[in-house]
Amino acid sequence: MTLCEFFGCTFLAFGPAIAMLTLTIAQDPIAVITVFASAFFWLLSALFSSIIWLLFGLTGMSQEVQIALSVILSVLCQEGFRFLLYKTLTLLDNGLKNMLETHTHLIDRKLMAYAAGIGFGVMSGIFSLINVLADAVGPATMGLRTGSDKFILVSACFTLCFVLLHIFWSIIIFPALDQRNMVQIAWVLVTHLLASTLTLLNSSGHSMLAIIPNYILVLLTACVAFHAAGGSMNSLKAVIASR
Amino acid sequence: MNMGFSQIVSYFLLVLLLYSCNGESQRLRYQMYEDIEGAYACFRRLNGTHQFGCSSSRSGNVGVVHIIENQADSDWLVSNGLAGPYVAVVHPSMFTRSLLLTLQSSGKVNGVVMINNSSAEKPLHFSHEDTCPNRYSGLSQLYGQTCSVGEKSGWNPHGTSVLLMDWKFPIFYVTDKSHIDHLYKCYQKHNAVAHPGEQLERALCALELKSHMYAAVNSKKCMKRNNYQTLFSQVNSCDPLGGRNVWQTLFPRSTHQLGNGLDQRSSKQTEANGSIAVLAARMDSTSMFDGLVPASIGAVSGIVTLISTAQLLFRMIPQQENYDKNVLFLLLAGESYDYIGSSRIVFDMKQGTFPVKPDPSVAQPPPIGLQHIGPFIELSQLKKPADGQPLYVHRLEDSSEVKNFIKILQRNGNGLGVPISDKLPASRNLPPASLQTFLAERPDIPGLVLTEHAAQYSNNYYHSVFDDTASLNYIYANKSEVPNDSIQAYLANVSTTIAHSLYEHVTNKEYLGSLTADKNLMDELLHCYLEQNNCSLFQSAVAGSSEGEEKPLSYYVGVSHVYSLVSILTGAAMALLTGSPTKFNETDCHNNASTDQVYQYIWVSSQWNNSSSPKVCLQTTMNFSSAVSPAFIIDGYDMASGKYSTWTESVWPELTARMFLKPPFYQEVITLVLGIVVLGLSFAGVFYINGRKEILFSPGASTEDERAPLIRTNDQVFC
Repeated sequence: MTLCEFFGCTFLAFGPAIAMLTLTIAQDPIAVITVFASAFFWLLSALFSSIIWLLFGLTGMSQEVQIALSVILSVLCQEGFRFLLYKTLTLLDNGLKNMLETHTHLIDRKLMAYAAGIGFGVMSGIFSLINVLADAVGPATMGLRTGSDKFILVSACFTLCFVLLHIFWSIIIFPALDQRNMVQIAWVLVTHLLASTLTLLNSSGHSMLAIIPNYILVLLTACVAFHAAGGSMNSLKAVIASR
Repeated sequence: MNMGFSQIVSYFLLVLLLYSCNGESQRLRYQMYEDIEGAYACFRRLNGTHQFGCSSSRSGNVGVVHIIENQADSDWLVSNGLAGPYVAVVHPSMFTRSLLLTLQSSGKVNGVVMINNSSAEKPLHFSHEDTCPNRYSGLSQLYGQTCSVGEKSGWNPHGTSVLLMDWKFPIFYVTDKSHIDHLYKCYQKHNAVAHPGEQLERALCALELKSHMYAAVNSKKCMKRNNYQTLFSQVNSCDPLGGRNVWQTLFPRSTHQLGNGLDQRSSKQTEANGSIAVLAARMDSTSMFDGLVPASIGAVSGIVTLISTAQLLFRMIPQQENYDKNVLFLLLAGESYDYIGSSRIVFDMKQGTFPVKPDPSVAQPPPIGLQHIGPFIELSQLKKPADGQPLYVHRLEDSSEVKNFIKILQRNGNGLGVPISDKLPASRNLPPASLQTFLAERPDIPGLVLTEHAAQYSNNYYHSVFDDTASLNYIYANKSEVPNDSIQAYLANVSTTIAHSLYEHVTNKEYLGSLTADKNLMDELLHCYLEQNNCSLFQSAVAGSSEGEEKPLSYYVGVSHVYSLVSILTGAAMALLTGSPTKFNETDCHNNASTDQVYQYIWVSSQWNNSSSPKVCLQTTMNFSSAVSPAFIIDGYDMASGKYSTWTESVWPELTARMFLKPPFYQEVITLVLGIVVLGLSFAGVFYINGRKEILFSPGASTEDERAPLIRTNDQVFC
């Protein structure tokens, strides 16, 4: 019955990512490899943060505190692994450059950042939504014991939000690391922490309170990413004019 | 050092495992669904021509809960319900044939759940059996349908035949109080509305009933399907009903010894015609729901009286004494389904294979044939009648032998406060009883059926889930003094009456001793059969091999390849109460079928009322015989012929019920449309930007160039 809900939520959460993968990534083998590598790095970060959580979670804290701490921990882990991914890809690029004795980048730096973002975003999205989707296939919706019947839709909206944020964060942070642009690096860290801690409001039943600020964050981060990727008001006007 | 490291690793893995298990319980599914445990389901049975019972679709039937407490609720559902399909939740008093038919024909109902917590009152009558149980078998084979003769509405006046219909939806029975409470709460919170249209706008409390049945159409089709094999496995779609009869003779039957080349058959010591008296009772019953077949009056009253009678007879007549006559005790399985057990015995008797297949190489008793049967007494539906009321003897035969035996019964009964009234043979009309099967083959058997009803059944719950302890008015005395006006005392007196009469029949002299049936044994037997099947008597009988649990037995016959607990425990109890001790130890305590086909040996506790008493090996004449209908034995039997029982039971993968909230249809549509719109816009946006990326991310000298993100996508999506 709620196969409708299943497909609706899947398309909602992953629609943009699917479009990007098919139209911009699929043609470029190096971009595909980068997406997979970055997805793998996100998984590693999840493993790493869960190991740490396990060690710290054993101490007798209240559940709320444990969740809040683990969110912060997980954000730091993810950003740490994003940095490691950046390092690895750069090393790889340099190594290839030396091997082939050329001076141009073999991997397009912008494309690399973008592809890395997609890998991170899609994997985190799958990770957070797959359980919900698996249970959404049945005839039921949420709300029998706890939660509201909008739960699945809200989860999909959050997932979409984080898929997009991860793409933008990667686009911002890779050039920022190249240029040691501390402001942009800090922006990524702070917005990631902010977005994740906002989702803590979810459990209190005020999901709208979490969704709206999160999408504002998405818009702001999108602007920063647009700028980081080389866009400007002028180029935007040029595009509109070219129509 | 090394050890320490590996310990840490293994500890770590263990913790990881525990947490992942913990995580499982946190899954969303557990917040979305409430599994209704302990629900009893209606399932599908088939005979040679039709299918009966219920089945859900393969993935289960889902319906919005609608509680029907009165006629108005049912009318509302049929005429106003908009958010269908529904699952109707009804109380037993509303669970009638007419309601079910109304619901089925409305086309809005996807399932029915009967709820009953023990505090609710029992309906006055509740029987899903035909008004004429086993209408097409027994004497009907001989005389055509006999039920309506002289009876306006058949033997079972309140029968609704709900059991014998093919329902288009699953039916479940829920008795768990907390689940019923949750169901009510959920219904009142989500489903109770002022206007039917409101139900369309909200998430509604719903039930999913899963009871998919593999078999369909009729037994013939599904037995044929059973023979098809897939490449890797054979999955049966149905199994024949059946089980094992328990039988025992009062005296061991003499074997003929292998001699020195003489014709062995002529030297076989066969019994004289009419020399074996039979005391029979049925061992099974039925109801609509799997696993819940109490049969207090229907089966238990007969079983316990028979066992107690056998025990008394064995005490009264020393085994060493020698008489020409013998008594055969029969406890028959599958009688509710066109007399499976008795028709198999009759079939075997005609073939000369009862009780065992003749084998010249073994010392075995000769076969018993129909001609050997003398008086046939069947105990059927006994309970304590109102004060001064008699038990009734129903019979077809009017020979002097029957009349004599009835006189003996009456004389013995009068002395014990068990008046017995003789119903003069009505023309070809006998209540449904195993005796009918025997009479259909040999009409002159001096047979009688002993019951507590003069004409129609006084048991208002025949073949239903309410034929329980309460309908016998039984209160467990637990080793204390059994009151004289109790059902235990009454049934003990019935046992004594029958035992004294059979004694007189066997020995040709009146019983002058003082032995009577043990009231405490009767008390314990009823306790075992009605309340706890791990009672001390059964524990003693199976020597503690942990059969049974603390709940009432279920008297459904089951499928033939699984031995039902009822027959195992009944056989063991018979053996325990009548066997004679031997000196064998536990390892030698078994019979050797190649040398001895008279006795069985079983390892039991020496006292029936103390399961921890020292164990002993008993020698007994108790044995089992197959109760599989001849229809499944005879090669090429025509399933539609109606001669033998052709009942089969469908195989099912699971019987489950769960409760959850079902989203309103509009919500599902909105979600799907939203998803598709987002997907479409994403493709359009990405395509647009990708085509203009050189201009948008203006090419420069520095690293800030070339392709990059798709901000517009985002804008388009969320503008």
